[in-house]
Amino acid sequence: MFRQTIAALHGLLQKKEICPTEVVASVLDCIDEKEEAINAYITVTAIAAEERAKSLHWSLALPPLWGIPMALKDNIDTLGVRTTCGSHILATRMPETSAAIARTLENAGAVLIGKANLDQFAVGSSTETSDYGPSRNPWDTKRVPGGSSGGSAAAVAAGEAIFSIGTDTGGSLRQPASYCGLVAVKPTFGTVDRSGIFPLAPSLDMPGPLCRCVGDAAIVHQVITGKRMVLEPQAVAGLKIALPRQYFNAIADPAILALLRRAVDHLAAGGAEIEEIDILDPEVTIALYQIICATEAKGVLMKAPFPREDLGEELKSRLLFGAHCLERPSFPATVQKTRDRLVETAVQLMKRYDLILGPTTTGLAFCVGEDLPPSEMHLSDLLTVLASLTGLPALSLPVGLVDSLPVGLQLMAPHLREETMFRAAAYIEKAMGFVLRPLVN
Amino acid sequence: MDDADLRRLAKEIGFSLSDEEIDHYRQRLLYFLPYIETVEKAGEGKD
Repeated sequence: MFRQTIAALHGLLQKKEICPTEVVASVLDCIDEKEEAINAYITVTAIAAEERAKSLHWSLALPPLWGIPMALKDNIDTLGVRTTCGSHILATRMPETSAAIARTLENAGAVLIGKANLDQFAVGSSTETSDYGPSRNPWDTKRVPGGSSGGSAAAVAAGEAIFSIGTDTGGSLRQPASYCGLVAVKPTFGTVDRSGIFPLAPSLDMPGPLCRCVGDAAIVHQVITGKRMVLEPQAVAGLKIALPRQYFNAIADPAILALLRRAVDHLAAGGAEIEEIDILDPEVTIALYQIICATEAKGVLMKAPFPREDLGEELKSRLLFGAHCLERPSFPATVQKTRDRLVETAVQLMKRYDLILGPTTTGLAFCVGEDLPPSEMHLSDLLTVLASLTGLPALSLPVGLVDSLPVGLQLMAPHLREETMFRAAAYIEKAMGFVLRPLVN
Repeated sequence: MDDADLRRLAKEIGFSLSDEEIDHYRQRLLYFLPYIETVEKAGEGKD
């Protein structure tokens, strides 16, 4: 049961062929079996989940997530369940209310199964900066699941949750989805209530779902945005799709490129108009992102009511960098001007194309403890930060395996045009025939 | 950035740096500092 999709489970629950307690028990059994190897969770809420599953009342029209076990990234406040942000500093912090997104999901029937591991205060690309130890990639436990929403991704890929919610500042949903063979969605900036989520960079942060298939991601996306989408037909004829040359040039592995090209060929065969384009140098977008993230994080953490002496090395480095940037005369204005230009370029580009397609990451999941220099670690966000800086919606979906590890493809759409993104993603998913089947070794 | 600057910024943020840490963080900042030049160059273009 823990390997099923939301849609499949919903059908079985609606027909009373299974009950929520059985679904929850199946996922908890999976956690018992795999959590030692995966470390997806900081807190598992087993007893509360069982009680909640028992308390759910069946009705003729069940809400879309009724009885579905979910994980929430541990920077999302949950009433009466500790919320640590991956830091020992907050190890005993008990929120007095749940985040808006947690309440919305609960109202849609979802059952909280646990709080997922993350890089400390969501700063990192591997979960290795978490004070609770790194999570492991269910496809190969020697490797990272990505970050900062790595625990959320690992939980779903391993079957330790049916879906999860993470947060994305520069790619923290999409990069873990790419590494773990999942679908992740970063909604259009500002379309999901973020109250009760610990911020990292308020002008960039967005929560979103990590799921096993495009259909499940569409279900959760509609719940958290409160916006209905029409997802049929899953046709791509007439769609204008841009392929940024610089994004494909960033990929060194020919096997990854071949998979991405195959997906593009399917779209072309379906009648999509494909055009290669030049886009603003990704090196500029990553630099802009690092500066904005560091300066905003400094502002956020300076206001936080806890001591900062015990923050981790990665976070302290970024805060020092943020403080240094803010001291440079007129630099904040330069940064804003560059960002404004980038947004305008993206808006103009999106008037000509329905979608931008490219790889999600520059390579496959790297090994735990690889000790990459920060500059190389930052490259894992190279292809995702454009959507973050411009507020565009973006989705990552798996398109196949290279060396037995998943490869992700990213779609970006115009603001508030997620429907187009989901339709094309469903088409690619069907054409590429990717099946989620990680082995926990 | 010299030692005094690094210590001052750390103090402003709310932590202190030992002598060993000063070198370590200076090395780490070297990875970040080129981003400033990249954005300054990009920002030099016309509006």
